[in-house]
Amino acid sequence: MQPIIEVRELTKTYAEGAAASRALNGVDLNIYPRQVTLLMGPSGSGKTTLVSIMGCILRPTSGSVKLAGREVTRLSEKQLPAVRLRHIGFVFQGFNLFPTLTAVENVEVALELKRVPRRERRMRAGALLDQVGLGDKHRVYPADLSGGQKQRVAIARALAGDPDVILADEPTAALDKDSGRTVLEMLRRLAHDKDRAVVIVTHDSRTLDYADRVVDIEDGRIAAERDTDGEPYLVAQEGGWK
Amino acid sequence: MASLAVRNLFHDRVRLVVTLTGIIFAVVLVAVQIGLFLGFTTTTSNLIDHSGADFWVVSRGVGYLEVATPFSEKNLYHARATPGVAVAEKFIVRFSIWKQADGSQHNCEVVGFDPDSSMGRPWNVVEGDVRSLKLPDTVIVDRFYQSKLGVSRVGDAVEIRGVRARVVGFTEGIRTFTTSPLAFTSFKSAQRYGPVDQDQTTFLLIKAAPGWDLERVRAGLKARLTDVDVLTTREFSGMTTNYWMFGTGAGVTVILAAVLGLLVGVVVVAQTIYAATIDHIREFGTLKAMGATNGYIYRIILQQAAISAAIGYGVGIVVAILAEHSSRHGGANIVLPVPVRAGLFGLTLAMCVSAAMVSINKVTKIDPAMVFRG
Repeated sequence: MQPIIEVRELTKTYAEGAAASRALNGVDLNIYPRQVTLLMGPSGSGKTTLVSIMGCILRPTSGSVKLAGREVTRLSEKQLPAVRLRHIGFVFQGFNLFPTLTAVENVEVALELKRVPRRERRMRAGALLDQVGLGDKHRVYPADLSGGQKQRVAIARALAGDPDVILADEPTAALDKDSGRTVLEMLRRLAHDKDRAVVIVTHDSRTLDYADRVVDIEDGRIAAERDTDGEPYLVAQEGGWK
Repeated sequence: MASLAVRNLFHDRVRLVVTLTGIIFAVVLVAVQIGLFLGFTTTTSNLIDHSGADFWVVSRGVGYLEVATPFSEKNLYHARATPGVAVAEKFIVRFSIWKQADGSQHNCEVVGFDPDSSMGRPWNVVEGDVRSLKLPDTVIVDRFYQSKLGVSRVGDAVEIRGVRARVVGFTEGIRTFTTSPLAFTSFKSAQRYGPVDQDQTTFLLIKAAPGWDLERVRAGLKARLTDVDVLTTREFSGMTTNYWMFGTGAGVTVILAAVLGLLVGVVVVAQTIYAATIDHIREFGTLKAMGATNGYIYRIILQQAAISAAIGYGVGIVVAILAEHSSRHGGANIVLPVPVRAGLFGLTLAMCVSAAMVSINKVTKIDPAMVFRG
């Protein structure tokens, strides 16, 4: 299976000199389509830094990140937005919806960024909300939605750009048990039915039921990679299993 | 879908009111301070500016209107004989003493002109007729000074430097910088109120014949007249304004107030717009993460600033114009001509956009990890 993201020898150091703090220390990682990959680890282990670099919103100190076969760490600030727009969809712990826009308009923003014609935007945004079970909430403002509904709007918005990768940061942290399950089930279906690579940063052990693979991070390093049964992770490569 | 900029502005009405209040306050403050400055400036020279003359002939070395010293009226005849001079008239401006019927006294400025001439006449006459000044010992004063001068209607009698005078009309909006009200009267009456000797005048007003080069006419006047300066109306107006604005402390105070008003206005607008932008910084961070270019975000911020500027200016200038109107009946004179109003719109827009540019700088430096914080 060909990885959509290839991370090699990745390091990230914040600040300099005596105040320097190494958040990532030689990380190697592949992210595959049709898989839900969990990034787990204690606070400060480097999960969010890793996902920020994979999402092209943070530059590494050294190392390489290939996204859909293209090296992205050396791209200019002007080139990166187009890469994010084409390949990445974000789902945030705090939803990050635009409070001044309705649910359907929140999704439309992503389509506007993709320069989808105005008439087509509303139709496609509505269809995406229908897909995530919010067919009756198109004109509702985020303030009037429950946490689970907000996260589903955020997922619809992330999908609007038709990205290869969904990066979700603690997507269930602010949700109750049932809403959390709905959102995770939705993310799993995206991976398995729509061929997306889904990466979830989480502390929540309930998430394990919906994942194909778990990457444990400690002190900026990959401590272990395993499938959800705890077996060391194997992936099909040319010449056999590795 | 309305643009994100419009939604950001209008969704939170309280925030909008706070933003607009800041801008409106700044617009009114700046408009009133500039209006006061212009009011003072125009008041110092409005008698000269409304004279209708091309040239003012003044005693040699006279620096401003109120300090004129008399000179021989022989110069009048020399002026009338100068090629290119269409009309030349004697004109008096002289401080005098105004005594009310109850005996109280005030300074006034007597303005003596020929009632048959088109030059040096009072303007904005709202009651009575300038032709009435052909009668001896008659005056026209401004309504604004009615109570100060102790007159309430046409026909009221007073004394000017011991000579009886009768009010035959009123003007509106003719103020003086010296706080001594103007009393328009015939040249002959003014000679008695001044007093100015029978064969003397304090100014000559000259109108050039149509088609004549003004500098050529001035050269002719200079060659024929003695012991006087020949100034264009613009020059004499500028000299008088300069004297009052810069030769005395009063003008500097007004200028400082205008500059301070401008600075305070800029700071208020900058803070207001900056706060309005920073309120949405997390959303701009999200947009960046979603793949929005900096240009897309700048457009939203600048759109917000421009809309805020337009609305804030619209309301602010209406308030300032109301203040201008009410100042006609009050102690301060606020003048806001159309070019100043237009310039103020440009200034408001520039203030808002500049403040937005400062916040754009902040948006450019958003910590990307911010979008991941709960």
